[in-house]
Amino acid sequence: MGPFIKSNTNVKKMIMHTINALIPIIIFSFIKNGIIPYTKGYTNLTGLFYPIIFILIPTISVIIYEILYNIIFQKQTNISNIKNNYNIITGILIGLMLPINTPIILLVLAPLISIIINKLIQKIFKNTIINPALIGTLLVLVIYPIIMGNISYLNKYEIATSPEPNYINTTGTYETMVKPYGGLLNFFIGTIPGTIGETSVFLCIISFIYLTYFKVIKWKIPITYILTVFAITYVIGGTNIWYPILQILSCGLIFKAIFITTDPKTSPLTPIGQILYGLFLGILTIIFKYIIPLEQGIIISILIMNLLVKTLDKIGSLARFDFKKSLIPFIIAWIMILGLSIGIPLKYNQETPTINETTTT
Amino acid sequence: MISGVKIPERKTMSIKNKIGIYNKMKYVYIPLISGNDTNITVTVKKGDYVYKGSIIGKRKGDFRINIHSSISGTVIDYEEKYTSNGEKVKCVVIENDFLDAIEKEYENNDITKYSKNDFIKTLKDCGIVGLGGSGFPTYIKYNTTQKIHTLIINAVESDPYITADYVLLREKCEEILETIDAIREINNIDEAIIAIKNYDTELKQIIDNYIGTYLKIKLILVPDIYPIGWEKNLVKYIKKIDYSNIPLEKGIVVNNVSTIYAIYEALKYHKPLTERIVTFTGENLKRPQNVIVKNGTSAEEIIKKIGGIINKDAQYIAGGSMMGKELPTSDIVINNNDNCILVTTKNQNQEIECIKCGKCVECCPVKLSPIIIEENIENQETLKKLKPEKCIECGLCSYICPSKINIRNTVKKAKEKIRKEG
Repeated sequence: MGPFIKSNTNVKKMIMHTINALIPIIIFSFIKNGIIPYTKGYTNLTGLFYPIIFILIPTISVIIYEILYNIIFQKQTNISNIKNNYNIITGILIGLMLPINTPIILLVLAPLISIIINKLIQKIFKNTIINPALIGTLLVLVIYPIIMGNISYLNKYEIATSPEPNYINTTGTYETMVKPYGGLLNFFIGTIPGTIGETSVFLCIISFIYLTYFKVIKWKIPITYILTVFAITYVIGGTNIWYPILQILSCGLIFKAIFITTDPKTSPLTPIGQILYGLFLGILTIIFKYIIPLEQGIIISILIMNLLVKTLDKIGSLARFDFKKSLIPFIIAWIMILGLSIGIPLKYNQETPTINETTTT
Repeated sequence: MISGVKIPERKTMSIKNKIGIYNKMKYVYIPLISGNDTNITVTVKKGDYVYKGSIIGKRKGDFRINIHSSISGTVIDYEEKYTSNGEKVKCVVIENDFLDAIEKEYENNDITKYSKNDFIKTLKDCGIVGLGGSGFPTYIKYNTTQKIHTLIINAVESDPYITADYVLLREKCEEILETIDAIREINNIDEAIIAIKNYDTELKQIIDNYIGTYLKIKLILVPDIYPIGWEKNLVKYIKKIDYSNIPLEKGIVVNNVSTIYAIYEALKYHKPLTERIVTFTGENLKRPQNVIVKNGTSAEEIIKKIGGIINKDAQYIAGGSMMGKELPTSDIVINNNDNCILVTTKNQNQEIECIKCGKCVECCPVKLSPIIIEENIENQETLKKLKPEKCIECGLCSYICPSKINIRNTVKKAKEKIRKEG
């Protein structure tokens, strides 16, 4: 049966494009966490290549686990299928989202846990519904309390020179929030403390353009997600433009928006579903930042939204014929955005000294 | 905006070669089918002598139209033969006497001197049907009291490989423009529009040479996205309006270029529709080209005549590579519905697991969500809401799928399921 011609995109190519998009980020983290500490004399030769090894461990682990799974449970001996397996990306992303001081044993365990949980979910619900990279990362960040300390995010050079990263930085002035790291430009370029690969917003944006050009990712999700967070924090921050910019540049938000929220299997299929997904992700992220402050608020937001993907698919597919079908979720989203933008500044005005007006430059 | 995707053209292989004519066949097998309707009265019996153009069958029902013999000779038998719809159809077998005898000399009319009634009668008598693949009797489109304000000539051929309309317009541009203007005048239509693809510069130049005389014919270049040749998309792009069933609702008639040429021959010579231009193409043909084929000719004969196939492991497809149907054999008879016989080599794309990239949802020109339809194929209630019956079977979803899943078939199944169960 037809059609008798097929487009030349295939899953393997999409995986390759994603890996290509991640390569500059991997190189940057090598420079930042390996080369700079080495040249400044803070680490030895192992330390120089540690970031690369760090990223390779979960990647290779995932490949081994997938092959083992195929051989043991699927009785497939043809291991070439692995090149069509999106979980390779999962491995790389786990590596990039963890702090440099994570023990190696956890780098091997995180993907294992991810894959076990995912295969179980797949068996039960016949669908991947929870982002595999996130579940592993989150578990590592929760079950190993020592690395919860902010110090774990610093490489050896940063321990000596930089202030600790402030991961739920919601209040403060430009001097306390941005100045210690040398200005917003550093947040953009990525020379601030943070996880292995999430810090460089600039490279993330380049990757985003690349992936959108080759039609690999669902670009509507990161755009609406980032804009929602920007809009709400813009109102919260009063007239200080640096404040919303800082909020979207920090915490690896842009990295997660581009690479994690767009994971094909755990994101909505329809355009309207994708926009709603982005809106509600933004709303949840704000809630977990200001109302129920959680260190891994972004990860938790994405995991919660993962559970709603099926619903969004349904709304989105019906709304294609009649936009009114998606009006209710949109109205809920707008009300929540308005409520958060107005409510949060009120709450902070009562409790703590607000974001200082005498700031900027 | 028109939704669609740019897909490969693959037209060059058949475009350069001159149009061939094939009339050496010993027998023709005229299929008793019009459109998809096989409810046809046969008006000849075994042993009858028929002239070229004699009526041998009449379609019953609302869309009455005649089927004509494409050669002169003797009716020798009835036989079941495969046609392009992939099914066996009863055919009238006529033995060719190679005289091309006609019952009555061809007239030589002035095609502009027709009244509307005569025009419709001529179209009906000559058995003119839409040659774009539908086989819909053309006279019915004009047989209305409603004001027609626009006539759109579809010369887009958005399906890859097919060049039948292209070469016809290239060779017979003068006659076609003349006919368009005559039809416009006879039916009191305000404006006629020829739509071609924006990269067809050769064609544009040819049309530009003649179009100056006809002030009320406009040439419009449409973007190269599939499926722009689909009537609804074309009307939407040109006139910026939507219609629900047929374009006539909005006072628009759409005709295919090949149909216009058939109308020309009907008006000018009173010549019935007995032959059409068919593209024989594909990577597996030695000499891809367009051929003027008499109704009822075996495709196998023509393929042999034009050089045959390269690789034995051939796959025969009727229609284009997107909407076409795979044929069980190359021994099929060609009728008015066929614009293309595509011969390729079999290649199996291995389907892998869906990664939920959403590309099939994004590209669907009728806004279906193919993958969500597949997920809900067992769930009748949800399936109904997803409206799979709107599918036009353009095949874009299967084309675009990175996992190479033939998702169109699933949507088609869902469509049939909804139609059956209401």
